[in-house]
Order: sequence, then structure tokens, then C-alpha cells
Amino acid sequence: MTDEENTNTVAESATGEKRYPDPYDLYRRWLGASENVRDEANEGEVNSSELGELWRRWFEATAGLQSGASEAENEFVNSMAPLWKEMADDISAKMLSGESLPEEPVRFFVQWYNETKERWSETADELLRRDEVLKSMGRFFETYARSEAELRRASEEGLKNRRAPTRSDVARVAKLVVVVENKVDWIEETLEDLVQGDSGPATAAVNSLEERMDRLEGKMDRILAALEKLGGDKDQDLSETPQSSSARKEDADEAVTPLEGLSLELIEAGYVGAGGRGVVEDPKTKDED
Amino acid sequence: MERRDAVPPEIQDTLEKYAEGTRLMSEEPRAPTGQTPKELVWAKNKARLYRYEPHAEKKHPVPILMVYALINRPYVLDLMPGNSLVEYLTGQGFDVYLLDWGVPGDEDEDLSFDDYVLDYLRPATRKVLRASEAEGYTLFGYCMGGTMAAMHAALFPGEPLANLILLTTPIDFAPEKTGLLGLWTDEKHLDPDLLVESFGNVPNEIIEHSMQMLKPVTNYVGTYAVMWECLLEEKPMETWKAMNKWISDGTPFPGAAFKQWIRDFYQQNKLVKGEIQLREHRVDLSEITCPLLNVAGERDHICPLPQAEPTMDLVSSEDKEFLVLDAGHVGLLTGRSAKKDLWPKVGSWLETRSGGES
Repeated sequence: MTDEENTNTVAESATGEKRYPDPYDLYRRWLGASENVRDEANEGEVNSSELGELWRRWFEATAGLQSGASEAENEFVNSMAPLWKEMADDISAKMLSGESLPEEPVRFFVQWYNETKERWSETADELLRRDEVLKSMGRFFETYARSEAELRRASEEGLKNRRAPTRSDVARVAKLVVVVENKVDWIEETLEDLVQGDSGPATAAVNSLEERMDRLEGKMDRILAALEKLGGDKDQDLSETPQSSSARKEDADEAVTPLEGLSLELIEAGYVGAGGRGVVEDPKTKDED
Repeated sequence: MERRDAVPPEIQDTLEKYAEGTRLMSEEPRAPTGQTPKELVWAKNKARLYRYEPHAEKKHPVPILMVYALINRPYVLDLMPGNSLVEYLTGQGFDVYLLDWGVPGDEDEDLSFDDYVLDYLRPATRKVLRASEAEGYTLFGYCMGGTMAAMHAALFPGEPLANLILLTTPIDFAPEKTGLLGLWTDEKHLDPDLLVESFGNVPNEIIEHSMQMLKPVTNYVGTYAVMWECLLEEKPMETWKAMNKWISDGTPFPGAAFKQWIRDFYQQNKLVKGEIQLREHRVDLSEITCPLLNVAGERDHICPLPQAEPTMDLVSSEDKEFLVLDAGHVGLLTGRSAKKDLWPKVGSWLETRSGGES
């Protein structure tokens, strides 16, 4: 359908059928072209000699394009032109020499790539090592990084001016979460170590506590023994014959009082000092011991 | 509208293949990857420690902890069923773990190799030992993951580290050994501080295209030539799809780690000089004494042979082997030759050093 026909049939066709302007004209043309390609695929068959002639003309045209480009004094193309011509000559000779010809463009592309990839790779490698390429890559990265930094700065400021959370705000909060997570992780590991019993510092602390408890228990035992002895002496005193008061006083002066006796026991046990004062052990000293 | 005659079947078939190829080129590649069953053992920030086939029979008591680079997803080690080193090793009865670094966010731009080695890898090794109730483990590092594994092994040598496997691991970054990457990262051409100040974490697009530009013809043209060849000749496409998915599935490079990687490793080559400092620890590779298997690819353009080989002279291990395979950086791990070369070699090397049944 032509544009004129399309315009003329906006309202109603000759048969009374309502028609509307085609809003997808381009789409329709593309579909039409695709249909034409399909039709031509049915009709455009060539024999092998005609196919060879088509490829030969394609190679000639390609080589012509390269030589034309090199005339434009483009340094990159000039450096590529001899290579391209060499590859084009090689592959055209091989492909037109009677071996199987590619039946379609994609197969041609695959065959062409397999034949030429080594040479292209070497050329690309050599090109990428050139000083001018390295410098331009460095300049590109620098420019790209600086422009990116400027864009980020501008967007951060814009969002801040609108009192909206910025990317750095979100990152800051996330960092706090990571810190908390690390602490929880540390607690979990320490607990696991305690449960498994292979944590050095925790085990040492527990062992130290155990030793101090053992020492304390020993002292308690001695205190109890002293108390029991005190109780026994007291009973024995009550069962003895009465003495004169003076004799009793003399005995009392000479004998160690039960309290003093108890004190002696406690001193020996290390619980009290010589003056009868209690001894508070310095935990630090204990640990050092 | 007139009814069109049917297109000849062979042309219809070709057009359908063209349509499929065009779709593959224009859409993001999709493929099922990382399919070996696994369970999460531990998580820290974005990192995940996975244990594969946890309920399968383990013939070897020494577990393997795999570590990959920061800039790619580690499922290349478990690419797809039938093409997976993880699947192979678990099938051989090994207890395999993988430390997945995850995808860093803006809040992770200050993460450096100090953090990754001391706060992530170190605790991960303890988790592995605990989960497997093992007394020793094998550390398996691939590419930059191997560099981190080597640093960890140097800082914490002796038990419980039983074995160290390094796969295409760059250790010596002398300019004459690093190929194109060394030229591009030279301080005359690249200022890592500027990139990090501008981007924070270096975007994965920059890393991905930089890697692709090492072999532009192969990566930008050859990839699709292979695709068309497979389509037109009706060859299986699963591996191509899985690899392309992985290649385009990179992760950002945390800023602080990127600065270290470029400045300390590529520009100043501090590792071989013993000048790498991770917090208060100095990394001295001569402290490594455990059995070492160092594998490199002859056609590896990302970690050329001269970058990997010096490890053999730097470590103090008595039991050490340098294996060179005729493959590239990734082909060594997942290509056709990997199944007959690398995988059985790794399996047999580990079998005699991991206890249990042989």
C-alpha cells in the first residue's frame, strides 16, 4: 500500500470497512522488507560458480575500501591495510580454489575468523603494547574517573540539598551494621571456643579461678579444723578439777588463749597477718604466682 | 492478504538459528551454574562459607577450602554438572568447602587484603576444621585467591595447614613477567588512588573490559564465532552459555584492596621481596613448609608462567611440585583438557596427602 493510498483510505475503504491511519509505518515497512527477503530467498538461488563470482567481487570491493581508506592518511587504518589485504588475498585464494564455499554470511564469518584469528590477535597484541595506545588508555581512565567523580559529587550535593539520603549516607549506615555484625561474630566465636574448650585466654582464666578456689578451700579446711580443735579444748577445760583463782590466773596468763590459739591457726593458714589483721590477697599477685 | 508459500525447510532452519544467535548476543546469558548441592556453614558480611555435599561419604579426613579471586564469582569452580572441579572432588570423596567473598557494597570500599586474609580467610579455616572435625585442611587458591592463600599459608604455617594448592596464582609481579596487565598498571599510566577516589569500589565493568582487552579478538569476536559455529553445526551450547554468564558476572573490586593490588603487587612487586605487611604481620613466603602443588597454564595471558613459577623457589616446602598444563587461565580449570589433566592430577596429589582411603 502506498502512502497516497494510505492517506486516501483514512476514513473508509471502498467496501465501507473502516480504516485508520497506520501509526506504525516504519514497522510495516520493516515487516514488508522481511517478507521480501523471504521471497528472494526462494528466488535468489545461484549455482556454485556464480557464488564464487559473488565472493570474488566482495573481496575486491573490500580490498578497494581498504586502499581508499589508507589514502585518507589514517594512521591506524594504514597500519591495518597491508594486513587486511594479505588476509583477504589468502582467504579468497583458499575459498575460491575449489574447496567448499560458505553458503551464507554467518558461515563465511566463522570461516574467515578461524582462518585469520591468529594474525588479528598478534596485531592487536602488538598494537596494545604501543606507547601511544598505553598513554591514551591512561588518559581515558583519568578522564573517565574525574568525570565520574564530578557526577557523583554533583548528585550527592543535589540529594543533600533536597534532604534526601545519599549513597554515602546509606553506606555509612551499612558500615555500622557491619561493625555490629563483626562484634556479634566475635562473641559467637568466643562462645564457640569456650564450648569447644580450646580458647587459650578463656581456659587460662578458668584455670586460674580453679586454683584460687582450691587454695581457698584449703584455708577453709584449716579454719574449720582450728575451730573444731578450739571446741575440743574448751570441753577439756570444763572437765578438769577446779583450781585456785590465783593459779587459774597464772595459768591464764601463761597459756595461749583460745582466741590467740585460733589466731595462730589462722596465721599459719595465711588467713590473717601477724598483728591479727586479715590478709587480703592481691589478685594480681596471685595471678603472677 | 495473499497466503505466502512456505519457506524451504533448510532456509527456515537457518533463519531460526540466526534468530537464536541474535537473541543470545543481545540478551544476558542465562545458564544453570553452581549446581552441586551445598550448605551454608558460616557467613560474615557478604562472605559465605559453603560445604559441598555435606551428607555424602567422605573418604579423606582432610577437608579442602577453596578460595577464588575477589573480582569474579567463584562458581567457575562448580560451573555446571559434568564440568565442575568441585563436583569431581566431592565425587572422589573429598570434603570440599568454598569461601565466596560475595558482592561488596559501598560500605566495603575500605576492605583490604589485611581484612580478607586475617578476618575472613583465617576464621573460615577454623570453621572448616570445626565443621569437619578435622585436624588439618588443604588450602586451594585460584588466581588472586591463590595469592591470598599463599599469604595466609605464610602467616600461619605448620599445623593445621596440611597442603597448599595454587592454581594460576600470580606471585611475582616483576614488569617483565606480567605481560600486558603489567604494562597497563604501570604507575605511568594508572593511578589507583584516583580510580578509588572516584568510584569507591572499582566497578566490575572496568575490570571485565580490562580483562577482555587482554585478548580483544578472542574475547569480542571469537566468542561469537564459536557461538555461531555451535549453532550452525548444532553442537551443545551449555558450556558456552555457562562460561559467558560467568564472564559477564563479575563483582566490584573493593577500593582499598584494589589500591593494594595495583600499588603493592603490580607496581612495587612487594610480595616476592617480603615487604607485604598485613597489619602487624609481615608476609614471608619462605615460611611456607607444607606440601605444595603449583599449577600454571602455558597459554595463560592473565597469570603468565613467569608470574607463577617463582613460588617454587620462594617457599621452604620439601614436598612441592610445579605442574604446567597446555591451557589458558580458565581453560585449565573447565576446558575439555581439564577433565583429563588438571582434575585427576589434583585428585591423585591430594589422595596421598589427605589421609583416609586411596
